[in-house]
Amino acid sequence: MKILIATETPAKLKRLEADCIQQGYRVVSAGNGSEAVEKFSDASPDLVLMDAMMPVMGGYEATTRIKALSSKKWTPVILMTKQTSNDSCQIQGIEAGADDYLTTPVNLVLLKEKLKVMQRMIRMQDALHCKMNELDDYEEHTKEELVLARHVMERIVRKIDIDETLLRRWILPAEGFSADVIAAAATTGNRLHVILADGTGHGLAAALCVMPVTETFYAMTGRGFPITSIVQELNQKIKHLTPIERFVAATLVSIDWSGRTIEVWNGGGPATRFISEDGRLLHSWESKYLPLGILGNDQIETKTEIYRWDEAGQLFLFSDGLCDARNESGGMFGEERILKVLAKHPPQERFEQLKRSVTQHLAGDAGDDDISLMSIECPLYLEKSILGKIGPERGKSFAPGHWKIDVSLDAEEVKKENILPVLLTWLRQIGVSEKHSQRLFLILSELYNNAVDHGLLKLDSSLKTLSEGFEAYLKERSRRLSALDAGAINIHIERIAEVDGGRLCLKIKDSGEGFDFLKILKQDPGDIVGLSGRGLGLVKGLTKEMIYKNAGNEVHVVYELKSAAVAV
Amino acid sequence: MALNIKVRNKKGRVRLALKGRFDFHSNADFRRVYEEELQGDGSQGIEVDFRGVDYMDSSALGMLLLLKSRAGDVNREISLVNCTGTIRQILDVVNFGKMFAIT
Repeated sequence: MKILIATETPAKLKRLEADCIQQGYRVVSAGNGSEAVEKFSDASPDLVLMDAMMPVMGGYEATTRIKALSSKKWTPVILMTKQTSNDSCQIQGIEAGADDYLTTPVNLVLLKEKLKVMQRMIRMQDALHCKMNELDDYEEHTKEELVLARHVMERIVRKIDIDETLLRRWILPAEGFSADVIAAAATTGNRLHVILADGTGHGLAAALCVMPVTETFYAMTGRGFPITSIVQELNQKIKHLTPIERFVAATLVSIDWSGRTIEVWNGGGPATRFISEDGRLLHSWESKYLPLGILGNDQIETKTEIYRWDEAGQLFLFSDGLCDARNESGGMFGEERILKVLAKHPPQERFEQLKRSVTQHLAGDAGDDDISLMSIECPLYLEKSILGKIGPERGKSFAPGHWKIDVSLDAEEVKKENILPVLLTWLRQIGVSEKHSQRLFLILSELYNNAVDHGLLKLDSSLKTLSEGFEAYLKERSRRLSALDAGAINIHIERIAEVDGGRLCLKIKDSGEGFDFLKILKQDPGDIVGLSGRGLGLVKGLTKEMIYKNAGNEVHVVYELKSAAVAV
Repeated sequence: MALNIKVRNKKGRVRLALKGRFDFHSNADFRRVYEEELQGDGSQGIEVDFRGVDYMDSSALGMLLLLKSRAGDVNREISLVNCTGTIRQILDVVNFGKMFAIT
């Protein structure tokens, strides 16, 4: 410890100096207050021992100046006052910032003890100072990491390219950024895929766990995979990437506006609600499964629940942060209140009203958990102009050349239900443009599904006409599919290259007994009520030629590649 | 409001009686207690008693998964008992009934 001793009396200086040195301290000296301030700056002592009364500048003023110079590091000042001095001298010293007193003549035993105490205090102050610096560094570092994390999250949760009149969303993070994620994208088959995912906890750690979700969701939706396959892939990714105690509650939805169906997989999220225009609850999808990232892929259940709407309505998805939002007195917002708000307001105001209502409930607080909310319009008829806006971006033109693909599927392969996305990926890799591959996907799925449903599974499509019948149809389909043990489907796709772009010939053949295709094809498309009949009408409209062969178990279509001016 | 954890051992069957808020603040305590119990021998299974729990968050659910996994390593069963009201609802939404015996 280095001590600055300031006194005008040389004898006193000599005595104090000798004593301090003897105790192992280093000493710097000054003859008056002004000199003391100067020496203080030059020598940066750890402690100052100073006479209160000195010429040029007194000890009180010097103390004030020294304290001003040592704002960052605590340097104790001990003032030496005459034994005869009264309390007012001490008050003056305290006001100047002195830390302790000694009366003169100085009692050397007392000085020794006081210096020990001061040294102890200096060490404590130093340790504290050191910790504070560490904390400052840590804060700086954390801030930097958060900025980076937010940047990455913002990139991952990209802007949803869906018309606002169809889909609205809102996320209120509990901390700087959200571990709730909402993503939506159109599929090649003109469906809308949506996911709302909520990672365990909140903040950076939770956000890290949902990071893999959106990229996988977009990539697989773009490639035409159904939500059941996406659930499986997401589950595997999250389980693999995050520790045991971390998981992601998620709801995946696939909406088909032309077929008026909503397909939902809900693993650990609050119930998804379908509300009629006049505010009635038409359907709910409760959580049926464990959240993503807990079970192995051999155990996870991917069965979805499908609902067909016969009455226009809105679909509402939210995270548990909305139901559990607490006000100051701890009261939760609650599911009941959500339904009440939705019932009370007209469709176009519901989303904003729900937002307002929960914001008011929180009264300016951030919730304990991230809050997210999404609404999707499900009208009876969707204007084509809007539907056109949801499609994925258009790609490049078709590369020329002649090629063909032949695929044969046995019953086991048919059960996997993943050939269509694989075919679509091939078509794209070969160079078929987005515009064409979307239409080809529609054609392929109609024809392939007919081959499976009616050829192999022998399902009667007249079942589908009623909404109850539609559900019964799907149930029966899934029952028969899992029991399927024989049968085959052959797919042949051939490109005929020509100067004007050429044609694609598709042939799909199943091992079934065929059907009365003449009866269905003769019908005016307007009269066809069954969904499969409507599907054939669609294929007919998209292709140059459609011919059924044999007993109706084989279909050939020709698709023109040159022009895209076919009405969908 | 820390989580209070009382351990009772009845003929080799361990019961962790929880009281208070079971959330991310209590993760470290909960882990420490169950690790101690899993290390002790003679325990057939562990019951987590939720009678005194008035709130749990998703990180608490994560703790239960961790406990189940650790218990599985040493062949011990985990059950969740006295789960009622909000606690039961939370466990039902995430379908933990598929992973634990819940009563």
